[in-house]
Amino acid sequence: MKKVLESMEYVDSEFINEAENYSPKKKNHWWIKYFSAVACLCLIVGLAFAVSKTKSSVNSLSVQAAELGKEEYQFGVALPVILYADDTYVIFYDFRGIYTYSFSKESLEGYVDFRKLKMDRIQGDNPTFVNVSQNGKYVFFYNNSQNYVYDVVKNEYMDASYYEEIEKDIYYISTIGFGEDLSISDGQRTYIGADGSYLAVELDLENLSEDDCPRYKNMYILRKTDDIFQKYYVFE
Amino acid sequence: MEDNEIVQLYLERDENALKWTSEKYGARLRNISYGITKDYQTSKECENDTYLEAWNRIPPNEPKDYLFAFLTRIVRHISIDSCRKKCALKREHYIVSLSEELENCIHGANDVEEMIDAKSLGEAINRYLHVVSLEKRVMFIRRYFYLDSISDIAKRMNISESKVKTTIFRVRNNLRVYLEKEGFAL
Repeated sequence: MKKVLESMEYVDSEFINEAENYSPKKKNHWWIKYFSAVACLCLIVGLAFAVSKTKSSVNSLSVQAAELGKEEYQFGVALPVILYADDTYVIFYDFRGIYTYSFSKESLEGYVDFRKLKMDRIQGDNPTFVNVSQNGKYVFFYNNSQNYVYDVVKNEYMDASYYEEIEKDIYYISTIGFGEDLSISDGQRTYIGADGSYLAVELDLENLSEDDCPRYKNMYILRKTDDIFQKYYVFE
Repeated sequence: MEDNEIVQLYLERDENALKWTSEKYGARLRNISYGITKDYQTSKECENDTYLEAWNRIPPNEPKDYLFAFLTRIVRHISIDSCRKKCALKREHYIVSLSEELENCIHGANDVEEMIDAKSLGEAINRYLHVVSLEKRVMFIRRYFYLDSISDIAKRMNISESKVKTTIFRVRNNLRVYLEKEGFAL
């Protein structure tokens, strides 16, 4: 029986030295572990909160925009102006922000709130200028001190550090026929060319109240397809 | 003094070799022996016997690169022998139980002594130890070479006793599988 233990005499010298000289890694003090765990937890909670807040803010933007119609919001001095339109959606803006309306979903899909960015001036001193890219996927809005790009597809905006690089792709609305005014008009059709195709879209109002103050809830998009006009109520 | 210089003194039959060995490794050898015998006086005797044995073995051995391991093997052997011979130490049971613990690795061997050559078994264990992690290897060597208790290993490695027990248990089981593959399953 003793030979089994004796066989250990034949283990390599390096193992013998190794076991003799082995020094374990210093264990962290409990409080280091504790604070590390707490710090990690805080970081995770913080990140989760930030992510959820970002998501909720994107959602709440749409809700806010939709609520414009419910809360008797009146238009300001400048009425909404169409920026871009094609078969799938129309983009327009006013001093409150930029709006993207989807024809297929028949709902407001995106909204950039200018008030949150303190860019809610589109006239007067330091106005906010708005341009859209040729493909209708990006909207650039800026004033003297702020530059942003609104990604229509992602429905989010970011600092527009690359604004100048794609400025050449700015989409200039072409109108044919009646009037140059792209804002809400009375009976005038705005024909907008996008990718070589032309369609008729305009913003219009109906059912104005007795005080004759146009409100968001009164607005609709009138779209002409195959000689048929269809109304889309944006803020319902 | 470097190990190779000490060994050179042995080879030249210079008695200063013993002095330098004692100076450099005396305390550690005594500690190893004490770990096995748990008797201070016996560990002193084992230490001295180790010097004598080293004197006799060098030459022909020339452990220039592994002097400490060489001395450790000797002091371990002498210490285990002392435990077996000196009933008063009451350490035989500990040695036997450790031996049985390790023997379980060679399942089915009722009379291992007769059937297995210790050297070839040692070499097989060596090969196995090459493939296990450092921590596991250290635990295994501390337990079955230095014959440390579980609590001593736990203190030395700054881990819990249960972890030591569990790890050693697993290493033993894996060793058993390995030895079976190597043809040691009898």
